[in-house]
Formats: sequence, C-alpha cells, structure tokens
Amino acid sequence: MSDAKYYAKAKSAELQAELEQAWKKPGKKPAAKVDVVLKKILANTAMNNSDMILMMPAVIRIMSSTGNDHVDILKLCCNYLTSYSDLDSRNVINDALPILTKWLSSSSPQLRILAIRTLSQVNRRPFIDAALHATIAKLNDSDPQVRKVSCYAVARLYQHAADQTDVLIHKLNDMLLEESDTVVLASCLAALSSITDVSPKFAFALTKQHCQVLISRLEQANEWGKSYIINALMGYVPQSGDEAIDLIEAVMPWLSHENTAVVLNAIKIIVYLNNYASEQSVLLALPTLPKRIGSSLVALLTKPSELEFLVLRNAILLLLGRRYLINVDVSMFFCNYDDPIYVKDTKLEIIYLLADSTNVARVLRELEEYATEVDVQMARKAIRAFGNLAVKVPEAATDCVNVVVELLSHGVPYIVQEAAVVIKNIVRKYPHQFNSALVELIKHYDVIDEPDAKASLLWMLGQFGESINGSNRILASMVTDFDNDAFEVQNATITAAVKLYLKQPESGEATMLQVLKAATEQVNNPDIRDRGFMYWNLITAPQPPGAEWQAITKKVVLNPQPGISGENDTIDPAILEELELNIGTLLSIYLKPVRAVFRLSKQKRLMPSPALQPRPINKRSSSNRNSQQSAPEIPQPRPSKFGVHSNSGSASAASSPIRSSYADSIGSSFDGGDSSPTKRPGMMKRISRRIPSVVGGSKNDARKL
Amino acid sequence: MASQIHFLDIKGKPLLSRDYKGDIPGNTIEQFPLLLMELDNADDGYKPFVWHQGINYVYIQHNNLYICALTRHNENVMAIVIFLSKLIEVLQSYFKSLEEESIRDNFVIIYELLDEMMDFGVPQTTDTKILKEYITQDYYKLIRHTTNRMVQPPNAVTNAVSWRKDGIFYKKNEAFLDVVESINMLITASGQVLSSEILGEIKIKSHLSGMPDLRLGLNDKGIFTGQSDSGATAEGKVEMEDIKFHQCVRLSKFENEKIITFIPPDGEFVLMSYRLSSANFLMKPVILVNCKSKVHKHSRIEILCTVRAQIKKKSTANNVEVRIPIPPDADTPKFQPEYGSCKWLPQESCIVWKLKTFPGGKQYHLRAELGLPAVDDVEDMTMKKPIKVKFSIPYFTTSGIQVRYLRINEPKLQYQSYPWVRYITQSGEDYTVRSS
Repeated sequence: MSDAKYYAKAKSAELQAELEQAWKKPGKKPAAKVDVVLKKILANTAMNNSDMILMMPAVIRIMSSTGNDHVDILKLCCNYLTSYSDLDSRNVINDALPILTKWLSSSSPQLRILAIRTLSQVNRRPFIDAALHATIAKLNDSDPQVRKVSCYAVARLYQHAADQTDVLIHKLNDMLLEESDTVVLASCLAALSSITDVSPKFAFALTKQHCQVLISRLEQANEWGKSYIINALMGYVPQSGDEAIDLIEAVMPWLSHENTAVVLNAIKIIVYLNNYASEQSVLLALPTLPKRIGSSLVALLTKPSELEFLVLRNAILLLLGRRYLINVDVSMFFCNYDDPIYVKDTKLEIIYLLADSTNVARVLRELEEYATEVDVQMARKAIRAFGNLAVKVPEAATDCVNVVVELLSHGVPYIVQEAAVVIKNIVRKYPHQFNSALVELIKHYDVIDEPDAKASLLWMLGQFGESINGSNRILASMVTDFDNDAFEVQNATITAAVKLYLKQPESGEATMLQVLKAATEQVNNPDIRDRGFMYWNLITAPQPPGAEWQAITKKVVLNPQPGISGENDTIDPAILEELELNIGTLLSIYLKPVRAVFRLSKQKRLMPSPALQPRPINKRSSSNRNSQQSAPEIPQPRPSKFGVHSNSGSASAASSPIRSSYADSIGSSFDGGDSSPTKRPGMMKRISRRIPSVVGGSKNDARKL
Repeated sequence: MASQIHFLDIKGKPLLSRDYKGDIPGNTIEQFPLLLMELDNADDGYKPFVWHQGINYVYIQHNNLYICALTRHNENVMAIVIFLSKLIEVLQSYFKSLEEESIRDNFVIIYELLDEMMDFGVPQTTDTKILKEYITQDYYKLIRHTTNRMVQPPNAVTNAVSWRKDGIFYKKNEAFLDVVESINMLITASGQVLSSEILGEIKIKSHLSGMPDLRLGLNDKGIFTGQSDSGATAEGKVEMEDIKFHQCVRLSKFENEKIITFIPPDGEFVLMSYRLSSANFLMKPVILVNCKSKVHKHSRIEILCTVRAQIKKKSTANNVEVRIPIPPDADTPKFQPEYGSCKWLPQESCIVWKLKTFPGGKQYHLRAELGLPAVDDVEDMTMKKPIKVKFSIPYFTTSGIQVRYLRINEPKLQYQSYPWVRYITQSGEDYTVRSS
C-alpha cells in the first residue's frame, strides 16, 4: 500500500463532487470512497493547501453519517477538525459539536476517546465549555484508556481556560491515591506536572502517602510511565535524612533501566534527595551509590551522539556539584576519532574536571594526542585544556608548559594564538617560574593576530617587560595598527604601554606617548578615550614633594596581581542548585539559570525541611584541595570603570583570565561582578521565596496564593 | 513536553507535522532550514539542539530526514530525544527503512501512530509490538471484517503486563538465548591498551505460549561482584558494571535477591545489557595489529602490517577485517598478503584486509605498496586516522559469563519448553589502533 498517490494538489470542488458521487450510489457502501477523499484532504493539509478549509461542511456531514464501525474515518475527520479549527471564520465548525457530544455517551470507548480529545483540542468557546463539562465525567469512565485521554484533556483545557479548571485539577489530584490503573496514574502525573510547571497558582507537592503509593506502582508502569512517576517524586520533601536515604534506595534499581530518560530521571531524583541527607550518611548507607551512578553514566556513552552529548552535559553538572556521587575513571571519557566535535568538546571539559594529581599523567598524554590532531578546533581546545590544567593541578604545571612549548616551537599560527592565551594564564598563576615559555612565545609574536591572543601577549609584555628582551621594540611594532584593533586589544595596549613606560622610562616613553595620543584623539570609543585620559592624568599629575618618580602612578598601576585559581568550575551555588533540579532538561545543555533561557519559566528551588543540608562546597580530590584553598576569586571583568584602580591594569588584559565556558556564559548572563560567587544565599532568603501553595497535600490540597 | 513534531527532508523542508499543544505558531518550522544553514556556517558546526527566538529545536537526523521537536519550555530534552529515536525505531519496524519516500507512502498511518504514541506532547507508548496491536497497515480492512464487533482498544496497553498480550500460543515452546559481547578497545601504535570495555547483551527470542514466568541464572561471577562494593573486586573477579534491563525484568527483585525474573515479551528482545570496564582481564589486545608505514615523498608509500590473534589456541576468530587508512591521493595499490584477501577502497581512503578464519595464536603479515602523486601535499596529517579492526569469535565470552539455567514456568499451561544458548564475542564499533 502506498499513500503517495494521494499527494496531488486537489481542489475542494473536485473532492466535494467525489463525495457526492459516493453518497449518491444507492445500495453500495460509501465508506471506501469517503476514506480516499479524506486521505486526499489530509495530504493537501500537509502541503498547506488552504483551499481545504471549504471542506468543513462536507467533513461534518461525513461525521454525522458514518457509524461507529468506521473509527478510522472518524479519526481522520477529527484530525481535520482540529487542524482547521483556527481558520474557520464562519463558525461552521460549531455544527460538529452535537455530534461529538453524542459520541461522549457512545458505548465504544474509541469514540469516547475521540470525542474528548477533539473537544479539548479545538480552541473555541463552545467546545471548551462542552469539554470542561465532559472531562469531569470522563475522568471516572470505566475504560482506563478514556480516563488516560481525559487526564491529558485537563492539561489541554488548562492552556485554553486556566481559570475554569480548578475542579478538574482537584479531581486529578484525588486520582493520585484512588486510581487503580498504573498507566492512567502515570498520565495523571504527567498532566499535573505539565500544569504545575506553568501555573502561577499551583505547585507540585506530594505527601509521604503519595510517595509510598507511587513507589509501589513503579514496577508495573511502562517505561514512559516510570519516567513520569520517578520525576514526580521530586514533589516530595523528605523530613529527615533517613527518609531521603530510603527514597534513594527505592529509586536506585531504576539506574539500570534500558530507557535513558528513566535513568536520567532517577539520577535527578537521587541528586535532589541528596540535598536532604548529609554526604557522609548517604555514603555510609549506600556505599555502592557513586559506583552505580558512575557506571550507569558511562554505559550511556555508547548511545548515539545526540544522546551521548546530553549525558555528558549532565555529567558535567554532576561533577560540578556532586563530585562525591560519581565514581568514574577518566579514561572512559577519552575521545574517539569519529565523535562529532560537540561531543569531543564536552568530553574535554569532563576530562578537565576529572583531572587531579593522581591521573594527570594519563590525561596529559591523551591531551597531547588531541593537540596534534588534524581538526584545528579540537587542537585549539586541547591546548587550552593544557593551560587550564596547569593552573588547576600545580603538580602538572611543568609538564603542561613543556608540552605547550614543544607544540609552540612548530610555529603553526593557530597553535601560537592559543598558546599565547594559555601561557598568559600560567605565568599569571606562577609568576617568573616559566619565563622560558614566555621567551619561546615572544619568538613568534609576529604571527599573533587574534584579539584574545594579542591582548594576552600585550598583558605579558606589560607585566614582565623587564625580563623580556626588546619588549619595547615588540610593543612598538604591535601598536602600528592601534586604530583598527579590537576593543580589548586597545585596552590592553594602553595598559601595557603605560606599564612599560613606568618600568623603562627612557625606551618606553615614545610608544606610550604615541598610544595615549591615539587613544585620546583618534579613537571614537568613549571607554578607550576615558581610559587614555585617566592614564594621562595619572602620569602628568603633580608629584608629592620628595617622592620617587611617578610614585603614585606606580602604586596604582604596578602592583601584585590577584592570583587565579583553577577553581573556575565553581558556579554560583544558587544557579547550580537550580540546574541540579533540572537535570535532563534543556537547561542542562545551556548550563544557564532558567530565567536566562526561558523567561517565563518557573524557577525551581529546594523546599525547606529540617533535613535540608547546606550546599556542599565543590571538592576536588583532597590532595590538591589544600593548595587551592587560599586562592582568591577570579575578578569578574568590569568594562573600564574608574572606581577601581587597584588592578585596572590587569583587569582589562586578563579580562577573562580563564576561558571556561561556564565562567563565560554565566558571567555574561549574570552581573556577577560584585557578588562573590561562592557565597551561599542565606537560608532565610530561600525560605521567604518559596511558593507556598501546594497540590497533592492531604487535606485542603490546593490553595490560592 | 514537545509542542510539535515534524518530519523534514534533508534541506529542512517540512514533510509531515503534528501539533500537540498549539502554543507555537504553525509556520515556525519554516525557520528550520535557515537555522540549519546558519549552523553549517558556524564555527562549532552541527549541534543537535538549536535555540531561536524562544523556541527550542531538538532534532535528530536519520537517513535523508530530520525529525524535529519544538518546544517553548524547559522540557525534559532527554525524554524528547529518546522519544524521537524510538519513533524512528517504530516507523522502521513498519516500513523497513525510513526515508523521505516512506514518509509520503505512509502518511496516513504515521499520523495515526503519532496520535497514539504521544498525547499533549507527552510520550505514551513506544513499544512497536503493542502499537501493532491496534494500528496495522490494513487498519480499515481489519475493521470492515468485524463490523458487528465493537472496536476495543487492546487490553495490553493498560494491562499489568503492558508488553505482552494474552492468548499467545506456540506448538513448540522454545526460547533462544544469545550472549553477545562486543569489545571496544583503544590501542596505541605500540600495542598498549589505553582503554577497553566489553559491552554485553543477552538477547532472547521467545516462542512461548501463554504468560510464562522466566528465571535466568547466570554464573555468580557475573552478577554479584558489581554490586558488592569495591573491596571484593580485587582478585581478578569479573566486575559487571552497570547492568541495564529490559522493562519486563522485575528490578526490585533483582536489587534485593539478585535473581533475574521476568515475563518476556513475545518474539525478539534484548533482555539485558551490561558493560565491563575490563582493565582487570583485558590487558592485551584480542587482535594485535602492528602497522608500519613508510612514506617516500612524491613516489610511494610502503605498509607492513602484522596481525596476531591473541586468543586461546582452540578458538578461532572469524571474518577478521583490518582497515588501514592511507593518504587519499594514493593509487595503484600492490598487495602481498600472507593469507586472506586485500582490497583498496579509494572512496574511504583505506585498504581492507580480510581474513576469513584466524586460529588463535597465529600471526600473519601483509605487505602493501601504493603510489603517491608527485605533487606535494601540504597537509600530511591524514595518517592520524586510526586502524579499525572487526572480528567475531564464536563459542566464547571474554568476560566468562555463562548461563546456568533458564527456568520457564507457565502456571496455567505447564508445557515443556526448550531453552537454547549461544555465545559470541565480537568487535564493537570502536576497536581501534592509533597510528603512529
């Protein structure tokens, strides 16, 4: 059978004639012909043939004349009704209403399903009224299929007439405890959660009793049902640590399910419950948990790339917030040759996160492999990873630098660009330890042309100018195209020129004057101009008597840099908490706060409970934790504000001292400049913001806000 | 969850669409081809998810089709992607292969399937066997013959055992078990194993009547150690990491008592899959490849390849295939295999050396020579491509897992039944040797 023959542009008049003919022939049953016509209409709908709207009366006539022995035809009719309900300007569609209402009381469950589905789908006042009326009755239908469809009808009606569905939602809520059929139960949960996701009025919350019922039903549900039920457990707030652990244990078997959605939901709920039990108690009660989660994540890596990517993104999230819950070996995340670039990229981030002093040797060998790869993008990312690793794991710094220098010596342009950025970070973290790398990089200064790389080189020139041979000559050659440079390069140039001048007044003066002149007279960007003037004023300001030459300027410009740490993997805990509650959703791809991507979405937060644990501080393996503790936070870029002079020099050049995707993405979407990102929002604040209304509560289950 | 689902051709033109929620305008999908083009030009290339003007496009590619779901909200993207891939599975089981043609040929039934598989954008059932129950290609025919019977939705959908219908009957009751282990290995040019894993599957083909309750016993080795914590894993025991079961297995029973019990669906299915990170016992490559190539610029490339089957003397590897990458501009190949046959695949820039049977412990050589063009090629980095190896070894599992028993019990019918077991070890998708 091939339906392709229906794919021909048809005129409504022709089709109508065809129908008339079918009906005229006495004695013969018209069903076959009618069926053909309906399929042609469907095909034309798919081709966006707007002429088909004229078939409305004919279709309604078919509906009224066809008996319930031809459900297939009726299905096609209803399909037609819903697709054209918006376009029907003369309310012809209302004629269908009595037919659908009649079906509601039909003895065939198929027809009842069709009726309830169609009624709730057509966004027309009379239809909605009828549907509101019918759904409440059909939620009690004897046939579970009908009940199931009715559950979704409630969710649909909520879209069209939110204010009239309270009764229905309460009814769904009651069904959670009463419903005997697991499939209906799962649908009920799915409908409720889709409503509460958008509703300002209702929040999803379960009682302990609900929880027990749901867990006992898990076994019988089909794979999707399982995934909804597990997801729904998020609505329960454990009141004690033991309770949370019991729940984790109840969910653990589903880490072994074949459907990845179920597995990921199980992980989500486990992570959620971990907020209500302390790390020690969880690991004591369930010592195999990290291993189970780790291996179930790794097993998912053999899925198609799209799924693999999602799993990896979520693995990053887990590593950031709940390192202790995962036990994996870094080699499982080594890239395969045919992985698409987005998978490789994510794996690289995970390798970086997992690297510590115990496995750094293996990681370095692997990264070196990537760095020499044909794929330019991959090679660049690998080099960048070297830099990040060197900053993160002090034991590995020397090895990292050696590799980078080795790669650099080939003078391949794109490697030089990346290496410039990387070396900047390294020398900033370990000043004067790796001057050899600096020397090697300077050899290739003429190749450097990308803004990031150029800004990095300029910053190093300014910072370590005294130990670089011919730093003034190099700077002079780099400022020739000052007008056309990118914003950050211009900024870096000004600072570098001033710094060099302060260090080497004789040789640096000419370049400094040239740069400041250009910045204040030729550049149109007010920020650059302001910065230029600021330095002018500093340099020309009257000296206090008896002071050293340019003492004030030196005090402002030349001072020790705040250190950088490898802990750029710390996201604001409030955001991390939100992300953790959204494991498996689109947010996990973007790794951004929900409001940044979905403006209208509800924010999920942890509900208070006596068992609520303070958020664990992200821990690395204990060996290098101590060495990192003292490292101060990364300063956030501040687009040239003059209020802060203390490190204005470095703030521009090293405006993104570490170029990790989270630091960038989150930094840019959040004005994190002033708040220290590790500070945990106070518990009181958290409580005051919670949404007080409750669905699924035991007595007065839903309240208005 | 998903507001709309679309089938699009390779250029992004919509072929068939279904709107589940009506919260996204119908013409939104027309942006899709533009977004695809934009992605093509972007630096980081193809990505399976796009955000554009508040709408998320989640899509997967299959043959010459894109299947794309749209949503406005922060939905469970994992569920959506899995649904899309299951949708492909279901459609494939209907039409054999799913491509642009088959969408048009079957659009009526696809609409119907989409309605049954998803409601209000929430996945309902993606089990082909169940769907086939009430939607068949000859759907209307089926009803016409039974006009006097009221159409009932099949009970299987809302049954306690949703994956099996009542009243299945076979004359001869048999169950076939296949234990298949795929080995993935990443090996350096010097023969050192970087990472290795075994992906195992136990497949069952069940031809059993009624509602049989099955109980599968494996040698203890496999099941217990994985769960029983790190202390016990030391002495060379098999550590079975991460077992994934078919939805029919009673997971809580397994969790508590380590017994695998289930009511199987009818026909073929994968009962369980497991993964072994095999650092403990897969220390050396199963098939060792040592390949040396010598490039004489502007004239020719010489390749000397040695393979060795490092398996038990009694076992034999079958259909061994070694794919050696060569520069894309190489030509005029000359092969001297000690055994087996050699082929040059210019379109994939590689040579394939096939060895039909390969007894354990044996070693074979291949000498190959290809001409290179006289013109200089700047990018000489293609040789980084790894060598891929395929093989299969029957009657043997690398992990040592064995089926002890399969008890079949049908409480009502009490028939005699015959379980059959077969073992095979084969190469996985990534059995690769890095080239030096």
